[in-house]
Amino acid sequence: MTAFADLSEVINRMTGGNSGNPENLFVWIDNRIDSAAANATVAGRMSSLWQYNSSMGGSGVVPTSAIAPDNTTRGGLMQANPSGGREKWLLGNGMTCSAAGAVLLYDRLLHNGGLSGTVTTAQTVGGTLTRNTGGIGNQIWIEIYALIGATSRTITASYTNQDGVPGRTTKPALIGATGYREAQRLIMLPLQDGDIGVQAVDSVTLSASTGTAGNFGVVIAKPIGLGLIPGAGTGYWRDYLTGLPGLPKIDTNACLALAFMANSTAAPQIMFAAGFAER
Amino acid sequence: MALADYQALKDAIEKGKQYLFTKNSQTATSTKLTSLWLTTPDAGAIPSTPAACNADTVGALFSEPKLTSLTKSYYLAQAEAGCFTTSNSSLWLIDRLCHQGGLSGTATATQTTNLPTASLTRYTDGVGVMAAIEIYAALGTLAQTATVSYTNQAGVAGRTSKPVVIGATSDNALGRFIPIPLQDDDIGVRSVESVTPSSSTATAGNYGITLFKPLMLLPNLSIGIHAIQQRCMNPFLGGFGGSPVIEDAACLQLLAVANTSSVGIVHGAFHLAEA
Repeated sequence: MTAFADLSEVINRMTGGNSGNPENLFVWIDNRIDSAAANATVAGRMSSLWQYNSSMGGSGVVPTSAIAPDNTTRGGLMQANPSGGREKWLLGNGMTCSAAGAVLLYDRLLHNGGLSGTVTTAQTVGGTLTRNTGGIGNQIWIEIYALIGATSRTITASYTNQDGVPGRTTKPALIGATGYREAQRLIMLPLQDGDIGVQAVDSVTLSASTGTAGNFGVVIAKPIGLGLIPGAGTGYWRDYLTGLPGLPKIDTNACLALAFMANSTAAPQIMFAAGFAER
Repeated sequence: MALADYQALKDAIEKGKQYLFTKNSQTATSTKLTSLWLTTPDAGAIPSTPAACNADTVGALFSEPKLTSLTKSYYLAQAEAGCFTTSNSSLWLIDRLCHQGGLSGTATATQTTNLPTASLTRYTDGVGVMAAIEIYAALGTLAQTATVSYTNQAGVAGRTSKPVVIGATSDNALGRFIPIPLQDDDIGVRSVESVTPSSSTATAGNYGITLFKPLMLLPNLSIGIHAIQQRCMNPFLGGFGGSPVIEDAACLQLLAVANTSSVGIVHGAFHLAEA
């Protein structure tokens, strides 16, 4: 990895100099999933926009097995890959949004589906990471694809940590009941004490049945940046050139995707924009 | 032509062009996207037959000096905007590529009136080009959905969009601009051939299809103040990281999102850097 030398080099490459191949990406995301309105969001809870209808690629598919999505997988933002052996860097992003909240841009490293809200034994996840394989900074999320039960339970994951140590167990997180059962809900699982990342998820285990099987899965995600929408109809610009944490490198084949932290029940309509350059 | 370095950027801005704009207050649907194409001053006209839009189309921003009179490459380098209103508003700057009108909100079957859309004259491969329903006279109060049949960025015809809502108070008013999500795996549009509503909205009104390329977002114009300081944006430094080249035939226009029923008076300026 070779960083930009200085501001002048960034300006040069973001205007196409020295094979900077700038990409200005715009993606419209509607609050519908195919032919149906998206579920209402829940204030204070995370929702996945993976299945929302989009101007880039249509809408995401509910996975059945554990796979590593990439930048050609619909549901993601489908940015172009860098060329000529160069690396791609995110210079900034922004959006306008119909609802207040916060948006998390992340690389969707791995996902699976088909897990049940009624199975009380360990449910296998598996799969192999193809990006950020060392695991540092990777997170484990639960994504609900079809309504699970109304009984509140907890869920844990058995995983391999950033040092390659298997058999680690996350802290339990709530699952089931209102706010933790609806399709599109994302539930973050805190890691075992001392861990700072994830290389693989072996299985997840419910404390007991939620009452309805539904359909949920596991996402291994690498967060990239947050954006804050202070009010409905507003938005944000997030500049990585002059603001912390500096320019994020976007891995080749990265499956960039969005998660939404709502502060109301209004499912968002979003125009997302991002600027990239290669070095 | 690329800018060599920071000094070149400063020089380019100094040599560049400033384009002032003002748009009077526009009735809007709260939190929904509204087109300012018909908003005075310098309003555009309601289209009927399919037409490609360019810098000389009445309603286009950046009219003096004409973009077509420029001889060098221009980057969108700075934007400043203020909004006189009691709402929060955000703006999009788009290149309006082509448009048509005359579609009816009472139709119950596939409409091909004034379609297909005119051939693209910019971004002709269609990658990143979006399609939208634009309402020119209010439709009815019954919520329906509509899909469009289009040719995608690979030249494949007969693609079918995801359905979008039209009609009802949220999606029937003059000015509503409704972007259309595409069929799975598509990333752009070259043309739209037809529109199919699920049923009648109960009022014919008038709407059309607009193809456009987004260029810049100006989010979060603040409530009730002339927020020049807060919303003076430089896409190179402090912006979203993209500084698009403005095509010399671009038909630039603004879209707005407000959180009340009015966008309010918007004015400001765009600055082009000459490379």
